[in-house]
Amino acid sequence: MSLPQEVASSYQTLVESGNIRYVSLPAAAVGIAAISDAGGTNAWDWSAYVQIAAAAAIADPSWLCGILFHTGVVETHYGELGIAIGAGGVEVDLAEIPFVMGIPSAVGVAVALPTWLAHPIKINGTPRLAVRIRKDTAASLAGGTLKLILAEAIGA
Amino acid sequence: MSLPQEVASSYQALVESGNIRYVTVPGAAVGIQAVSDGAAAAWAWAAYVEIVAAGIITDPSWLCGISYHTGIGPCYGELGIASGALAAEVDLAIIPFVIDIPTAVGIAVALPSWLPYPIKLTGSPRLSVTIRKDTGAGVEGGTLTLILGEAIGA
Repeated sequence: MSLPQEVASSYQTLVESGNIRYVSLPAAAVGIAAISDAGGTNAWDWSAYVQIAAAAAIADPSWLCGILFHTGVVETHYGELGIAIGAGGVEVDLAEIPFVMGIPSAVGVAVALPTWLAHPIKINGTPRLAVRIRKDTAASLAGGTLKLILAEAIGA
Repeated sequence: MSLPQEVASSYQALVESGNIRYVTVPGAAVGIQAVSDGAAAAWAWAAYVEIVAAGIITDPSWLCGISYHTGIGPCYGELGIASGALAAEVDLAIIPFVIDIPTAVGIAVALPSWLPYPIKLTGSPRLSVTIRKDTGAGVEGGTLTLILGEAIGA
């Protein structure tokens, strides 16, 4: 891309940004159960990847902009999410994000809003998306429910 | 850096940003005990606690966000996240926080807080943290994890 094109694209992203759109993934669903695998992982071992979206499902290009992680299961724990692209068995982590998951023991409502990446990561070619977790507790099915926020038309 | 290089780098960071990666520091750990030292008076800075030694993080990296949790004692305070050798620390970011200790219903999801303007760290410096708070001398504080970005602008 030429220098004038890069300047114009940066301007579109920062100022003339009327074309940008955000979508949630998976749409119209609570989210993907991003939980550890029961028997295989010790404390802070990465679990197996869980698919978020199959290849060719997202717009090309898209940008990974944020996540929402909620609906914890099994136990209170501290952990990290590894959000990846790539086919099964050859995933590459794009972002490792720490989290705290608590399991309230009495009735109530706790608001959980998304967390946003300071620099969105461009995703080309509509790859498969997957997630894995590691945590401070021993082998268990602990984890939560994950949604991604993707942006489209950045710089357009 | 020349103007064309600056424009190209801005474009890479804003739009063509496929190379950017995020890592947590410390990795595979609950976090650093960023607590007061038991000696500091209300709103006096505590001693720095090392997060990571020099020569460990990628050069360059960008300080992009924090996760702060696992509180000890309720307090209102500020975190000072610094780079530099022992006794020569320079604060990069002073970030306010509230730590509460639930007594009945436990804690809920705590996701990171992100800086709108990431701070570039060159030369893989030592990183450390200090806190100050509204309570008197005590060991209140919490557990800190940093989120660093890599390959921004590349």
